[in-house]
Amino acid sequence: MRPPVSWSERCYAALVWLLCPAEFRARFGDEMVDFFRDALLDARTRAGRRGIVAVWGRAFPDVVATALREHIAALASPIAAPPLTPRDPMSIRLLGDARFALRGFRRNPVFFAVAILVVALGTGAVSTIFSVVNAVVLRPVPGTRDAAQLVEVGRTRTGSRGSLSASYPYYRYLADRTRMLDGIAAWAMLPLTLSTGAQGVQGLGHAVSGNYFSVLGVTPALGTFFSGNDDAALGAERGAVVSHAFWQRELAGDSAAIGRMLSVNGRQMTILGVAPPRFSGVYPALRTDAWIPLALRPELRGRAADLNDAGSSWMQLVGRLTDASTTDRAQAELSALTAQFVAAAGDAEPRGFAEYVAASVDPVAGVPSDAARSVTTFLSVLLAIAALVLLIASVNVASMLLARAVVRRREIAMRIALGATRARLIRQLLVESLLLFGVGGASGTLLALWGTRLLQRIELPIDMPIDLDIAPDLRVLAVTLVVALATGLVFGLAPAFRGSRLDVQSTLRSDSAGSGRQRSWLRDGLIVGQIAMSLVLLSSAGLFIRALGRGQASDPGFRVDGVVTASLDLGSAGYTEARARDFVWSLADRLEALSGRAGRRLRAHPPAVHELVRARHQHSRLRPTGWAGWRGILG
Amino acid sequence: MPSDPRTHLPLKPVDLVLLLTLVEGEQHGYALATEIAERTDGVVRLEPGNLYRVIRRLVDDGLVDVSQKRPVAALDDERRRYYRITALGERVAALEVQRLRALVSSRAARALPAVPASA
Repeated sequence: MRPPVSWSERCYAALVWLLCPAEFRARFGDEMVDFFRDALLDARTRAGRRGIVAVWGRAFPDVVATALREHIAALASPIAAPPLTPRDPMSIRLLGDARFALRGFRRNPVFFAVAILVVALGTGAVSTIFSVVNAVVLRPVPGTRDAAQLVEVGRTRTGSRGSLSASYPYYRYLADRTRMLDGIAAWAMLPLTLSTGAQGVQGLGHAVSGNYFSVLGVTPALGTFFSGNDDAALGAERGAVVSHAFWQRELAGDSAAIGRMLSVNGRQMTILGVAPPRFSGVYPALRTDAWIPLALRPELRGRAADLNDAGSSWMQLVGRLTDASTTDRAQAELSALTAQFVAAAGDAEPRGFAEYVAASVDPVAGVPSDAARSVTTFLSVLLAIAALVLLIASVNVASMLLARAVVRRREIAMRIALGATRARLIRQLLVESLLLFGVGGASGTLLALWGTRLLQRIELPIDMPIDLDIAPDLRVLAVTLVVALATGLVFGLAPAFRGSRLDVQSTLRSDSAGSGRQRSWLRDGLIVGQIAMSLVLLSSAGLFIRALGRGQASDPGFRVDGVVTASLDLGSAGYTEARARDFVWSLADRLEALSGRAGRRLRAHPPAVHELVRARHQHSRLRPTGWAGWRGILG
Repeated sequence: MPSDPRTHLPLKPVDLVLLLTLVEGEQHGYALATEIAERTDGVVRLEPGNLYRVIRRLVDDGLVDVSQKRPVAALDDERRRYYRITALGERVAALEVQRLRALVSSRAARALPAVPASA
């Protein structure tokens, strides 16, 4: 019983067939493919997609290295390969070309090492950035079933931008009536302090409706999830679902964790289930530690609010398209429902809400749909810059190939004299540059593997737990190789055409290997293009650095050196506003008393926070509110 | 093959590990590679290309042979080729192990200080 042939296996078989010399292939080709299939099956059952990438990560360099060694061994062996005839199939002739090219590589190791390195750097840049694009925008939401059917639903104004979060009555109104969507779920983020013992950890949680997990099509790794539509009842049950990572980290991956108590913002809740690995809600970039019932969010944030209040809108909606519907049809239906809802709600909603009478339906893209535009723009700019790097690298290599073609003029002239057609020569030179870019692209992917690891280590200065797996996968590998081969074709063409156009007689007759011919417009063009692109890149890098510098040096209107800030989330610990104020004041007093004793100039300043924020934006003078101590700190 | 086992010494470490794995029974390529990885705690990992280059060298040297026997039909996949160690291979492996043993028990080797495995 043989499992169906996978794409990976087909690709591998093609690689073996393309790269390895015929003799080795005939003897071990089938067995190598068998081996690869077994390894793939094993890795897939053990580690899923990551396993497949890992197998490729080992198998690809192995095939390339084996092929290279075998070819070199074949070249070194005294028995020459049979000469190629025009009647051989194209693939065999290409193979002959490749072998010839490899022989050239071997003769000029420095030239080709430099060329491959240059291509690797260029493709590595593209591959790294594309890995990020892939993880942020292209990859489906991990852990969900049929992620392509998932849509975000927003409440919008007709005519102008901006959207309104959903209130619970609005959510129910849509969820009870829609036919285009196979269920709508509501969710909202909230900061959580979770603790299983003495020490609490800060994290991010989602308050979710009862049908959230079934709409997203998520199955628990352990225990159960919320179910049903009675959100109030779910709230009363006080159950929580924790993420797989949290379970591993804080609960030691213990299967007896189900049913244990978890303190969430100071309230005791029961752990119902564990989410599958890598599932982190609709936006996989944000690390989510726990999911709690929708109805508990106001309480956990220290606010008293009724779920059925149409005036409190804080939910985001996600739905699943039925097989028969499309985003457009769903959008039309939900817009009509929204208009009906506004008419029916009347005064129950605050006045401003009545403007929002339409709905938007967008495919879930890994980033919030309102941020998607800026994220994609930012990533496109990055990708364009990386592409520019690759372009410069390619132009560089093209000039190197051109220079090599000049050096090889006598050899080429000799081959023409011996009867080689121009097409044959062009093919030979093209195969050479394709091989060069192919190997360069493969090395570029390896560079990307390292580059993404480096990127992942950068901590973004924002208050959100970002946790995104950006390691390159099969798609990145495929795109990188295609990009590398395409650039190889484009940038190999000109040198190939140029190199194969020769005046045989004069070249063979002259003794020198080709110096002092007239200047080549192609070579000049390449150099000019290269300088131009480098200048563009250099000046954009300069602008970028200046913008960064300006951002750092901006004068907020007060002295910032030596000032540190700390923030406390008292609301989630159950403080009312009045109590929180008392707490912060007394904390400030005690800190100052402490610093006095230590002889340091430490002063605490209770919240003038809003004024500070405004001052930063307006560069205006600060106006103190309430407490005079801040002046001592900020000067 | 009338070949003096001594001419094959010393063996490459990979060759010895592979021969020793085959001493315990016939294997096909992938099983052989996983077995070797397990035995060496993942230090020796043979990918297909590399593995078959080693196998070819050993087959060409007459130390390993393609097996004619098949395992139980249910476990068998008709396309798979099984490899077994030859009589010469066994002799070469034994000689190599002897050689290493002598080396390890030499006075100089025993005088070396103990080093933790992780260092």
